[in-house]
Amino acid sequence: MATATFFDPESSGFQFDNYARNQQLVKQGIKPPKLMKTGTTTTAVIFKGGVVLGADTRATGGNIVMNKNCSKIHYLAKNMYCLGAGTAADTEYTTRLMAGKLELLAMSMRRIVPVKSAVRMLKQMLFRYQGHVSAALIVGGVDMLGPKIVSIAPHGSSDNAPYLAMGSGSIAAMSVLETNFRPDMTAEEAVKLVRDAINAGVTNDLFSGSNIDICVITIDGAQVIRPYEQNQPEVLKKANNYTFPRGTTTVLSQGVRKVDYHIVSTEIRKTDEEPMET
Amino acid sequence: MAHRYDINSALLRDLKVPLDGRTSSSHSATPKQHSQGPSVSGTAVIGVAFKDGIVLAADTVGSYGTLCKIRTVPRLLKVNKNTVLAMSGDYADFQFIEQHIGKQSIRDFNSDDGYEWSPKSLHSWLTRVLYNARSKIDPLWNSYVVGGYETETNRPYLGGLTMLGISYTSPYVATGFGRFIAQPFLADQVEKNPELDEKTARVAAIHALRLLYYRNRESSNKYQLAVVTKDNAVVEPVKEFETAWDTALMIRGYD
Repeated sequence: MATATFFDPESSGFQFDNYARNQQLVKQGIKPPKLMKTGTTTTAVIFKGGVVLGADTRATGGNIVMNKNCSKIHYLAKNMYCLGAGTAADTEYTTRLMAGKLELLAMSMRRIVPVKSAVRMLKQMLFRYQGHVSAALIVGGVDMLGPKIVSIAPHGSSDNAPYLAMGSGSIAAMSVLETNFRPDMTAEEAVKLVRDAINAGVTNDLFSGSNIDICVITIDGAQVIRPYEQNQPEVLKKANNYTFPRGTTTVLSQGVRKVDYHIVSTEIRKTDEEPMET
Repeated sequence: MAHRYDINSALLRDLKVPLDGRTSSSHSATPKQHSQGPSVSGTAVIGVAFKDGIVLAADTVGSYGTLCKIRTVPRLLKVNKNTVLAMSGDYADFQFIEQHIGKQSIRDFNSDDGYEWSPKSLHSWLTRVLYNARSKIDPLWNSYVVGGYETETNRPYLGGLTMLGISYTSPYVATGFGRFIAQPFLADQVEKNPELDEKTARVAAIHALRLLYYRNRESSNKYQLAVVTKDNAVVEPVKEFETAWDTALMIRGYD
């Protein structure tokens, strides 16, 4: 039996094997598929006792909105979430890979994983790919050292600050953060600040839009509020709840019947397997 | 690509252009060069319209590529008692426009018909000048904010203008990097309070410059304001605004 060639446990998560093939395809005149990017506004803020993460929900491919309601708040651990800006596939798979690695790390450490571990692992991976994995992340969480947010750029550098913004709408969001951030805010104030910052990105940046998602993380746990705010046109709002309870359509009768079948043939076969040994 | 950190890009560009267009021998003649970038340049400018007039704000830095060459350079020009102009971009092109406006003002004075620049007419004329230059692929490398008080309609006038000749009027204008960092802030301020008074407009304009100082490489905290109301236009002297750096104490390390 040939060994499976589709899964090689020795290599790392990403493989560049198809690169040469893709170059050949482009030479033959085949157009590569359009990258789906999350032209984005993502923001994180530290308050007294936790962190608030916020993001918009628009994913664009070129000038087309590919997804009006995509989720940019990615799960890393129970105490840690990650905001992803940049190429949508890169952020999604990097964070999924990292969530798996963190789960294993938590089991081997027998502790809650601190935010700086996730940051170190993400940085080392992104640096290895020299910026080709276009993921601009903000990792936020609460661990034994307190609340922490760290931004990670695609080339693998990280920045530590009490307020951060990433994505195409980050400059608009940053103007709101610089104006209104104060140390030791309450959770409500921090949520309002993040909401205002994302709103600045949604309003002023064409590649950010749709809804605002919020995630609040404290020592007690994380709460993802999706959507926190919607800017839906009236026409698209559902007029009613269309999940109907049982019995809405009258049930006339219920019953159990045996299905008659004929046995066509029976066969006894010997398997090649080794007998089970005890 | 590496130029940004070892050799100043503006210096490199200036050294490539011959000092005089003419050459000694015909067979080594260099063709006429078109504008490829600014030399000494000014960064973003801000304009805010309030109920009875407008406020223009600019910092006073004259950058030479990545070098902060001149710390105090006036980027606001009082054209007449109703009109003020603020520039960003190449300073030499601004001085050319300044002289052009001066000459035209003298011609208007000599015709003795009481005609003077209004903010709208200056904006319109400047748009034509910039657009025609760009149509010859030799632009004047500037963005302007034209502001003032229209005595004919009795309303404040505020307009923006880019080097490609894109021209528009708005209750708030920002050029360059200000479009990304100051304009969202000003938009929010004006939307919350459509009937701004002068004091609020001043505070908003200065805070917009503060945001630029925090996040723009080329900005500084020395600035000038120009305020135009029905009565007069005043370009105020150079001042400094305060900044808050206490959040820096919350930052340790990079991860």
